[in-house]
Amino acid sequence: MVIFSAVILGLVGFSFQIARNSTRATDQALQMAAQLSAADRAATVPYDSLRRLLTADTIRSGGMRVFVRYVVDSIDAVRKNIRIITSTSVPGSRSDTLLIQRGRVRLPIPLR
Amino acid sequence: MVLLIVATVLAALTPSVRRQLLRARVNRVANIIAADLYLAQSVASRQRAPVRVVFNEALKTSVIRLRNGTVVQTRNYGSGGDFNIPVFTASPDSVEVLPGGMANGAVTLTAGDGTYTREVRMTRAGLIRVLR
Repeated sequence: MVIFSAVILGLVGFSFQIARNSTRATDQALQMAAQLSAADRAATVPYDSLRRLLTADTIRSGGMRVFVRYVVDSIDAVRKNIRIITSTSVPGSRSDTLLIQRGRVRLPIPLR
Repeated sequence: MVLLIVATVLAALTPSVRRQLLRARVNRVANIIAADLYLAQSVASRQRAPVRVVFNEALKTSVIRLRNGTVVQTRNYGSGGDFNIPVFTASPDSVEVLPGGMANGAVTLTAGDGTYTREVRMTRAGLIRVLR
C-alpha cells in the first residue's frame, strides 16, 4: 500500500510538473502577444478618446483566456499614462503591466 | 511486482525529465529576455524617446524605464516570478535603447541553471539574438 501510494504520488507530481510547464509556456506567449497588440492600440487611439475607446478585452485561445485592461491616468492637461494590464485564466499566473505615455502633441522624431 | 516495475521506470525517467523541464525553462527565459529587448525598442520608437533597460543580477529582474524614471515594465526571472532560474547575469547591467532601434552599447545576458545556459545578445546596432 505504501509503495502503491508512493508510485501514484510520483506519477501525479510528474504529470503536474510537465502540464504546468507546458501551460505556462503557452500562456506566457499569448500574454506577451496580447500585450503588444494592446500597446499598438493604446498608441494609435486618438488622444481625446482614450478613456472611451480603450476598453477591457478578452482574447480566447483554446481553453485559455487572456484578459487585457487599460488604466488611463492623466498626468497633466496634455499628457496621459496608459497602464496595460494583461493576465490569463491559468491559475497561478501573474499579471503583467506595461506603461505607455501619450501626449496631446506627439514628440518629434529625434535626429531627423 | 507491477508497482515495482512502474516505480523503477519512474525513478529512471525522473532525472532526464527534470533536466528537460529545466532546459525548457531556460530556453523560455532566453526568448522572453529577447522579447523584452524588442519591447524596449518598440517602446522607445513609440515614445520617440530613449528608454533604459536595467538588469539586476541579484534580484534577477529587468526593468524598462523612461529617462524621467517612469517604469514601463518590470520582469522578474527569479523566485518572485514564474521562472525561478538560478543564474541570471548581464554585462553591462544596463543599456539605453534609442528610438531608431540602436543602443548605446552591446549587452549580453545569460540565463541558466548551472549546467545549461543560454545567451541573449543585443548589438549596438539593435540586433537581438538568442545564441544557441
